[in-house]
Amino acid sequence: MVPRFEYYPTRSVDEALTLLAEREGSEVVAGATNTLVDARARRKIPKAVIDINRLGDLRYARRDDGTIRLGARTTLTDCFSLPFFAEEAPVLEMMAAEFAGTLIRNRATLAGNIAYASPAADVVPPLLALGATIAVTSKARGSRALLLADFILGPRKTALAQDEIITELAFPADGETKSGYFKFALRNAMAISLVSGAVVLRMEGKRIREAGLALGAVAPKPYRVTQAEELLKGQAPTDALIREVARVAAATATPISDIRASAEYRREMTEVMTRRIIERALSS
Amino acid sequence: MYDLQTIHLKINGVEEEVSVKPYATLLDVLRDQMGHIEVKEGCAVGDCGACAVFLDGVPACSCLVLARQADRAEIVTAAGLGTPENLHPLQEAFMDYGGIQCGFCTPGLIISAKSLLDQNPHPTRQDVKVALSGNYCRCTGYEQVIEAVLAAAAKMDGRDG
Repeated sequence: MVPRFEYYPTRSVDEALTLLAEREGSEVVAGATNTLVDARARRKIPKAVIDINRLGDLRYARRDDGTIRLGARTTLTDCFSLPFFAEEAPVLEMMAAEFAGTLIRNRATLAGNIAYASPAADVVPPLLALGATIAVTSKARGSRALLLADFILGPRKTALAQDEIITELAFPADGETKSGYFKFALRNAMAISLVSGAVVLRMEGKRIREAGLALGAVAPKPYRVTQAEELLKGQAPTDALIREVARVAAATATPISDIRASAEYRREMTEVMTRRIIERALSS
Repeated sequence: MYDLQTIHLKINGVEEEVSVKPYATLLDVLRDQMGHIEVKEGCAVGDCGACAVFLDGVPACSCLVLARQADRAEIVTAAGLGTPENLHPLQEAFMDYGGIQCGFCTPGLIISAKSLLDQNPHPTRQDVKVALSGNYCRCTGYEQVIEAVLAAAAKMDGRDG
């Protein structure tokens, strides 16, 4: 049985912001794939649900000059059903293909996965590796943009204020990019990651001009491995360098031991999988 | 605050009205208020896929959709795909290939399989496995289900289902 809450459909961002500001304890939903699960389990019961699921103006994927812009209502299915992603952000396409299962991907949104701020949020490492920013807006203070890395504060904690809505994700599109993604879990679908990671290499010929490498599920929040990124920057990587990068990345991981895996196993898999995705990205 | 409100649904081609609470899921409304018991409640948290329906053409777990979110939507359940006299090729193939044992997961599997064949009339074995990856079956071990979907695809040979 789902516990009681109020429900408000909205026709515009402005209407949603007004409702959100007026109603303490209200929660914005799009796919609602986390909100309803938590409500049913009585982990977190909203007083009111503000539905932005029909806001067409938040569902877009486009390129503005050198910037890729994704509306907050972009679903996981959009990331591999729209050809745009294969061309402009293949790392998101790779991630989406392994996210939960088809039925969830059809409704779950990129922004919702970010807002939920699970340490194992699969959407986050690829966007961190891309250097994404997140735009939020409120009735009282208007819009602001911040780095995604600064937006997520810790387990289930973000910088989103009660009266704010996520509107957009953006990242630079510049240059030739090679990317890789892994999700390592106990099943091939409907699984919580033991460790996940993404690499985005912005190339200049055979050399890496800029590297983005991010890990998920092995720390209180997904994070960029800046030490490893620095090792790759400006290099045409050898096998030895890639092994070193993977070792450095694994050394930054602070995973927990739980019912699914030990910390040692997660750290070991971090090294193995990081090495593999860099190799795969460079050979693509 | 928690008042009933009328929503309009088109279910398997039939326009219907129903009064729902703001926190009622589409699953609960379909089953308990409208008698569509072919939509199954398994886990009720989006893991098992037994409650899958087409919602405006897109398969979704009805346990994770609020009924009011579906207001004025078109819903197709597994029972909307064929009749006992005139089964959908998928329904026939599930019976012929033993894709059904206890039958509980079958309505959800049929929805996911139908969605796959709509988008990809000639799927590979791997395509089928990926398409059904959000639906649990605790009886068959999936092999017979995969065989059934491939057989239905071959039988339909690109025809609209």
